[in-house]
Parts: sequence; structure tokens; C-alpha cells
Amino acid sequence: MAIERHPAARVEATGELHRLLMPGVTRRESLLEYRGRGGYAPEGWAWSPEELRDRIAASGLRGRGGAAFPTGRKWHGVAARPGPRVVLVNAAESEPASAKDRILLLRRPHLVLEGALLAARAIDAREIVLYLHANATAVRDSLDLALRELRAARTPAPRLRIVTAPPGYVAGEASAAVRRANGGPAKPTSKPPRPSERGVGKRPTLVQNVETLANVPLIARHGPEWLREVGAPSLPGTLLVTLSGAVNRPGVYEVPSGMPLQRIVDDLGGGVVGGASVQAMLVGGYFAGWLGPEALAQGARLEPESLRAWGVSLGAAAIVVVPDWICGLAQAAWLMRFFADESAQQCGTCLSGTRAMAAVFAKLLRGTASPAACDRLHLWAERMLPGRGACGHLDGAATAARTALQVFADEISQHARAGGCGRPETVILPGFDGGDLDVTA
Amino acid sequence: MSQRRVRVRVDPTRCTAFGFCAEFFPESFALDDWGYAWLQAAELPSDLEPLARETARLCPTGAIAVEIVRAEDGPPAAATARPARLLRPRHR
Ligand SMILES: Cc1cc2nc3c(=O)[nH]c(=O)nc-3n(C[C@H](O)[C@H](O)[C@H](O)COP(=O)(O)O)c2cc1C
Ligand code: SF4
Repeated sequence: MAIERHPAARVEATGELHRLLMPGVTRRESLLEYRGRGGYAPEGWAWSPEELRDRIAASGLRGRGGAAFPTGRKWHGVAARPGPRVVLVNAAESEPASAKDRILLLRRPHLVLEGALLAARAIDAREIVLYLHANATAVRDSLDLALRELRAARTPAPRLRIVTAPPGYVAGEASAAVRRANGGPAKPTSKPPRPSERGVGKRPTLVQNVETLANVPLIARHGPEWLREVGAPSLPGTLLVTLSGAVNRPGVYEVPSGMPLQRIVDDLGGGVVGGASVQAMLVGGYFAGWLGPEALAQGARLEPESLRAWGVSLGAAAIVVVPDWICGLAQAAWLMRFFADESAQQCGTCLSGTRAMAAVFAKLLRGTASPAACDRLHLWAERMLPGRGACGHLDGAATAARTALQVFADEISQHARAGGCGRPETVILPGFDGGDLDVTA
Repeated sequence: MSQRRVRVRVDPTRCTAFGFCAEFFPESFALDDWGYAWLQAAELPSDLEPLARETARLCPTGAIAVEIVRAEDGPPAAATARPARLLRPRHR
């Protein structure tokens, strides 16, 4: 049975609604086409900076980059600091299981750019930084073209510049983006100060995810209530879901927030490849935790509150489905290896803790972990490591470990008894090239 | 009446596991399994301020920051974020 390892092989609006991704837009939308669909409509630009901030706050918009932080509150916070200020568009999309930001930027770069320009207006920013990975060349081309169109149309805009970072998971973290834009390495800094206090050029900086910004022009145009017309009250609006793993139709889908996960797998994903059952899934991407099949059966939904009850978070809404015919514990072990490899190695605890957890998971997979090592792993994941890093990477690793210990508990016992489960240990998580799992702690 | 509290922070990028903090100020610091400062109590009564400041001064890498806050400045910062749900492991 074939599983596509690359998400976003297919992009579909769900048929129910299309707000950000439009079914008609399958190639890069030009500025002219964007304006034909309401882009830069005067209604969106009729507001004072303060009114804009209030509109965004009233809409209930929350960040789509992983933390679901209320966007309006962030804007008010940055605006309250002395200027000049900066907007940093976070287009890094480090999350290997996510492809939504790339799709948005390839197809609707002007929607994102208008969002950035409105954000700059709302906080009175003199500069906009577009931040992306250096290897995202197609995204870069799309943005370059869009910027050229904006200049040719003499659109009034603050200084706009593109900053690129070498590949790496933590490069997408807000303070790493700021550090890179300041000429440093793309590694997180310890807080305080936060980017909102002291960011690009030491100025208060608003770091915002691409999808978050794509919502902004539409809210400015149609009003705060418009966002709340769809989705869950805890997180109004639509979500761009990247669905990958063992589903028949992987892809990026726009759905109302709060959609039951079972429906996402069955209706959007076309069910599990080969009619198999779901063994486990990642819902929010690599740092947001593992979810077991009972959560699907019991109606877990794609919104922060419902997911929190299951000990996971919404993250970047990047869903990876693990079927019952491969070894789930192998996926969990490889994910721990990912966190160890991707640590920025700035915090001693992150470097040591991620490696130690990965090493125990490798042993759990082979059934050779001692009971003492298991106890330690629980302690690390549940109490010793959360909240200890300069950035959220270590928290992500701890969450991945803690939830894997719950979701794959039976597999862990079976591997301890029999040294394995007899199922293939093929890794279906996007972005893994295979190799040797051994980690030295 | 606002109450003065002493708030302690560790910069995890600076801590290199000397371990002096846990020795001098066990009310606030323990060491994790790799020897790094593991904050047990981020906010303490203000009479511990001198000890907190002395500990910060003794840290060879300057990883410890101490500030005075008022109790009404917000809820005490949790030393470590607690996961949403702690389930008992089923496999033992
Ligand atoms: C390790 C790590 C990696 C991250 N990578 C990204 C990323 O690639 N893109 C992104 O938008 N946010 C990423 N974030 C979240 C950002 O720090 C930040 O919260 C976000 O860009 C804010 O935008 P939002 O409020 O619009 O979501 C990452 C966070 C962490 C801890
Ligand atoms: S927590 Fe890990 S990834 Fe984040 S800054 Fe520290 S060492 Fe780097």
C-alpha cells in the first residue's frame, strides 16, 4: 500500500467554503486578479490604525503559526510600545508536516501581502520583513513577482525586504526569525525580551504567521462578525489543514475550525489507505502531540479546547495519520530522534533532554529499556523538561514523548515482551529520510 | 495591600551546569538529571531576596535574574509548565 510522503499533493477547498483558498485559484493569482476578487477594496482601508486593531481583536482571530495567540491582543501590545515598529511575516513553515503556508504563498501571495500591509498600518510599522527558508525557491519567486507587481502599481508600502534562513526546525520560531533578520543565526533567543518588546533593529516587532495574515484583509473588509460566522467560538474562522500519512487523499484543505477529526479523515482524506484503521495521529504537527483512535471515536474536534482535553494542541493543524498496519512506536521513536537532531543546542537541558528521551525511545522500540529508564522518561517528559527551554522546542519534545507514552502504551508493552510487534517499521512522517535510529545520550 | 515577592529566572541558554545555585539556594533551585538549574519555585517571599541576589551573583555564567514583583502583578509564574493531563502509564 503506497503512502505519499509529501503533503499537499492535492489542494482542495472542501466544497463547503472557501475563504482563503479558492477553488478557481490553482496558479499564482496576479495583483489584477486579486483586485478583481475584492483585494485592496477601499472598505478594508477605511479604518484608522486603532480601528483596525479593534476590528481584529473583535473578530477573535488567533494565530495560525502554532500557539493560537489572540492576534488583536498582540497588535495592541506592539502598538503600545514606542515606535518605529516592524512587521515580520513568518513564512518559514518549518513544520515538516505542514504545507499550508507554502500553498497560500504560491497561490494567493497578494492576500498575505495585503494582510501584512494592513498589519503595518495597524501598528504604524516602517518596515516589513518577509521571512522564509532559503530552499523555498518557488515561494520566493512567487513573493518576488508579487512585490514587483505592487511596486509597478505604486502601492504605498513601508520598506519591504526578504530575509532567508538555512533549513532547520527552530528557525521558524519567532525570536529565531528576528535574530536572523538582525544578521545573526536563525536560532531562538531567551525571553525576555520578546520580539514584541525588542525585535528587528531593536524595534518592537509583530511576528505573524502567513495564514493569520491572510485572514486580515477579509476581516478588514467584511467586519469582525464575518470571521465568527464559521468555526468554533474558541477559534473563529477557517483553518488550513495539511493532511498527510495513510489517507487516500492527502492534501491541504480549508475547513471550519472545530470540524470533527473523524470527518477530516473520512470525508476529506477519503479514509485510511487500504481500508485500515487509524492507530494514532499527529494533529497539530510534530510539536503538538500524539492522539489515539479513541479520541476520533469520541468526537475530538479541530479546535484548541477539544484538543486540550486530550492533552494535545492545535498547533499548525498539520495532521499525520498512522495506520494500524505499521509500527506506531517506530513513528514515535523517530519523532523523538527528530527533536534531538533539531535542537538548536543552545540550552544544555534541551540538548541533553531531547537526546536522552530519544535514546530511551529507541530502546523501547527494541524492547530493551529498563524499568528505571522508563520511570526516568516519564519524569523528564511530564515534569522535568516542560517549560525549561529558551524556546518551545523542548516543550514540543516533551509533549511528543508524554503523549506517545500514553497513546502507544500497549505497543510499548508488546515490544518489551516480544522485542517488536512484527509490523513494518517504515517511517511515514514527512521529512524523514530513514537511516539509523541509534542515539547516544 | 500589595505584597512584595522575589521572582527568580534562569536563562537556559546561559546555564552551563555549575550547580552552585542548588547548593546555595535550595528553596528555589534543584538540578535536573544533567546538572542544569531546575527552578522549583519561581516566586518566593521577599525576605529571601538577599539570598536570591547572592545566588545570582555567584552564578559563574550570570544565568540567574532576580526581580521584585508585587503579588498583584499577576499570578505567580509557574516554575514549570504543567501538561494538561497526566495519565498514569498503562504499560507497567
Ligand atoms: C520550534 C518552533 C518552530 C516554529 N516554527 C514556526 C514556523 O515555521 N512558522 C510559524 O508561523 N510559526 C512558527 N513557530 C511559532 C512562532 O514562534 C510564532 O508563534 C508565530 O510565528 C506567531 O505567529 P501567529 O501568532 O500568527 O501564529 C514556531 C515555534 C517554535 C517553538
Ligand atoms: S530550547 Fe532547544 S531549540 Fe530552543 S533555544 Fe534552547 S536549545 Fe535551542
